[in-house]
Amino acid sequence: MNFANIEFWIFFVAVFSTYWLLPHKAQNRFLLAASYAFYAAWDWRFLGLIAFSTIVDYIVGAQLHQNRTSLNRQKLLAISVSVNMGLLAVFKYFNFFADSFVDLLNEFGMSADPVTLKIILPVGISFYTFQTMSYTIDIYKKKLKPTENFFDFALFVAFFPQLVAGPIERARNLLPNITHKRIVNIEAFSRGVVLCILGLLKKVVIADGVAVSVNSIYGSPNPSGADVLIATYLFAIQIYCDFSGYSDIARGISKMMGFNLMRNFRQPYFATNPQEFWQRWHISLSTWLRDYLYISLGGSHKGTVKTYRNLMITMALGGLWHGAAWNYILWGIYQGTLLCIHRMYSSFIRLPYRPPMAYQRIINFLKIIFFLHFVLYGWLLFRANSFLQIQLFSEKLFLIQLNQFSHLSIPTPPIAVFIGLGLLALWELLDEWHDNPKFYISWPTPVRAALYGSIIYTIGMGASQTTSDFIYFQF
Amino acid sequence: MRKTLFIMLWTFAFLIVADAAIEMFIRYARASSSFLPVVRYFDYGRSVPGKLTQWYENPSSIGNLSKVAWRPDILAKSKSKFDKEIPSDGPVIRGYSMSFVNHVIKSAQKLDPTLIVDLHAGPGAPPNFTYELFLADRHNRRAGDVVVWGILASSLGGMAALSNQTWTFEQPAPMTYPIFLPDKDGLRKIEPIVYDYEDSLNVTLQKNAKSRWYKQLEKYDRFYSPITYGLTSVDNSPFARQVRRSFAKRYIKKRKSELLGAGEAEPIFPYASVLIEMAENFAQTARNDGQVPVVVLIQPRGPEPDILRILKPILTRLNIPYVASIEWQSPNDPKGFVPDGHFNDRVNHKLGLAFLKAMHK
Repeated sequence: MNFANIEFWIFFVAVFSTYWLLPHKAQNRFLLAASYAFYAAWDWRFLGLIAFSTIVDYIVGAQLHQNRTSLNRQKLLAISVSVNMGLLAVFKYFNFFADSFVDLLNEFGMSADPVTLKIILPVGISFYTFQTMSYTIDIYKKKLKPTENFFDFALFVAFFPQLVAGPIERARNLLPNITHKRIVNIEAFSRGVVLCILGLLKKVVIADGVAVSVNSIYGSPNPSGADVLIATYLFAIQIYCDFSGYSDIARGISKMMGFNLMRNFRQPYFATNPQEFWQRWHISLSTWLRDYLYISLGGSHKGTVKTYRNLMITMALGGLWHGAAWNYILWGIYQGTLLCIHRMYSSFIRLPYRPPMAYQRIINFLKIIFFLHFVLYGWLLFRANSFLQIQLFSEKLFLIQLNQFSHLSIPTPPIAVFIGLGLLALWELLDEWHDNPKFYISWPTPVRAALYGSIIYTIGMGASQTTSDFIYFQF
Repeated sequence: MRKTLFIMLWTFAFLIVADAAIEMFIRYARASSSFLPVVRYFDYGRSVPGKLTQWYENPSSIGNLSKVAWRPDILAKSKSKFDKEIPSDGPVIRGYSMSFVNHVIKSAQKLDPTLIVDLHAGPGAPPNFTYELFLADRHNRRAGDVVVWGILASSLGGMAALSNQTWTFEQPAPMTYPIFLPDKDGLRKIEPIVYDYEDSLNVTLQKNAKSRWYKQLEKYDRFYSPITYGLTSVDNSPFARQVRRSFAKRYIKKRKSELLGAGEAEPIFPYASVLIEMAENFAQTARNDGQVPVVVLIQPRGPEPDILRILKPILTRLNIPYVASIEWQSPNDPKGFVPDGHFNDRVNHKLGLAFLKAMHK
């Protein structure tokens, strides 16, 4: 049951119509039951994992608050982190590290039998473990008081709109939404609807529409450089629309129920440098990594070398968070390197004067285009199926020839994708221009209706493509 | 509250106006035969009866499949051709397949222009269609002929259907064929009550005939659904057509996946065993008649069940010559395919050579 399927919307209408009628406390219990039912629709066997993680962190949180001894508090925090990281290690990374270790031994001429566990990845495990860890870490750092009600905490962990693919909410933001009475009004509801249709446009029309083209080239043994280039451009569109589409829908349905989830994407492809990119892309993860990993490692307060080291460790682990494969780690290292290089040159290069606004805009535009291509190469590392493919595709890109563009083998996406991309580009430009996600509020009613109507009509056209699961479910 | 309601009403009005405008544009575009891809795009979601009616009403329209691949027509044509043949000219290669295999055989003919070929095919024909044609055309073959049975991996789902119209939603060719099911004495055949083009016309015009046909489809055809056949009145809205297309595609994909385990190597019972038994019967029948059986297995682009993996054991055990496209062209390499999904000339050339080798073996 994913947001792009009719089954989910039937489920949501049923949940919302009951939720609407209940008092606050009952709403929370009902949402908890609905969240567990939602997760059970994916795979009921892993409900125990969420429940286990919830119980452990609830108890640890309460104990951390009561305990004043530093050593005991450290031990309690260690329990929470070990349990959550342990779940990740077993269910997500065990086979990867076991296989890699065997490969390493084989490289040195030693033979070893691979020990692999026949386990499947529980959907959303990376999201909810990070979310619950932020709760105990914040209590440990005395930035948060534990919630008294176990069921409220259980809802914080399992809240269905963001359970399987984020945003990774902080307890400081989401828990008050749960414990305090929520206001469900028509404004919030209609804003929620707008977010949902925008999310569906991104996912159903654009991401699913380009998926076939991307998969055909990344599944191909020997495509041309032009095919690789176009497939990588399309993958950049696909991953952004897939993931931010999910986040938009998650925020939209939460808003309809009176919850405010954090904004997870802010026009990331308008970034002019890597630092800005990570302030715009998967904001809930990048801020999590910054607050709980980078700063814990010392951040930028322990000298230049250690700052670069901390950046590299944070980004490499951030890459590993995405999946148990070496290409994700490589992608993380690549992003870390970009951040280090940017940090290095931005401390050296300063323009001696401030150019006029018109020039600044042109320079900014050129910076966006220039940096976008570094992001794109990162997506090649991210999407590739193997190191061999990374090597082959990189060679193809660097040896690209103009005449290859007249013999493309990449399938052309359907008409709806182009219409959807036009609408999305307009939306993103206006959002960026006004620096306000609700830029349309002041528009005349017929113009707003025309915009919504065009999006809905395009979703109808795009729905006729075959939908696939959200990419970030696998993380 | 009032403003939100206004916006909702305006949005709804916009959708109606936009839908009507698009429908008007499509009608104009169809009449002037311009913008064909756009017209087709919006027509793909029409209900099956809606599409068939359009085809029957406009027999000369582009892409009309209403008269294509009816068995009586193919057999009559085959007989007439057979009667005109001069046996001393040499053995004939008789193909029972689809366009993919026709291209392979024609490539082989280019390599060896002395070959005489006689091809019988249907669009995306499933194995039950080609196997039945092979059986029914028995009298139009001679000893010494080469008999080619083509199997297309993407059409395996059609083994649970009585017609392409139920499982190829976007291009619902009304041609019909039997379903074969395993039986203690071999294979049991379920014949569709619609046998030829006239029957097909009849079921669209006569209520009783239509009702009997739909009942048969409902009973035996695993792809028949009210999603694809019902609510014909909403065919007037391009938006509703797109939504229907979405539901229909998901429904057919789901059914196919249930039947075949799409994307996995092993299809589920009973169709794998039916296919294997068909291969065995095909070889035996051809050999009993003094003919040379050749099986051509086509693995098109995309994730489909690996037919070579299913059939290789029986082909090897009975020493049936075969050509498997997967051994020459990866289904994941788009370079081997032309935009309409067929193999390109380079791949057809390779397969043609492989076919000649298999035939002479």
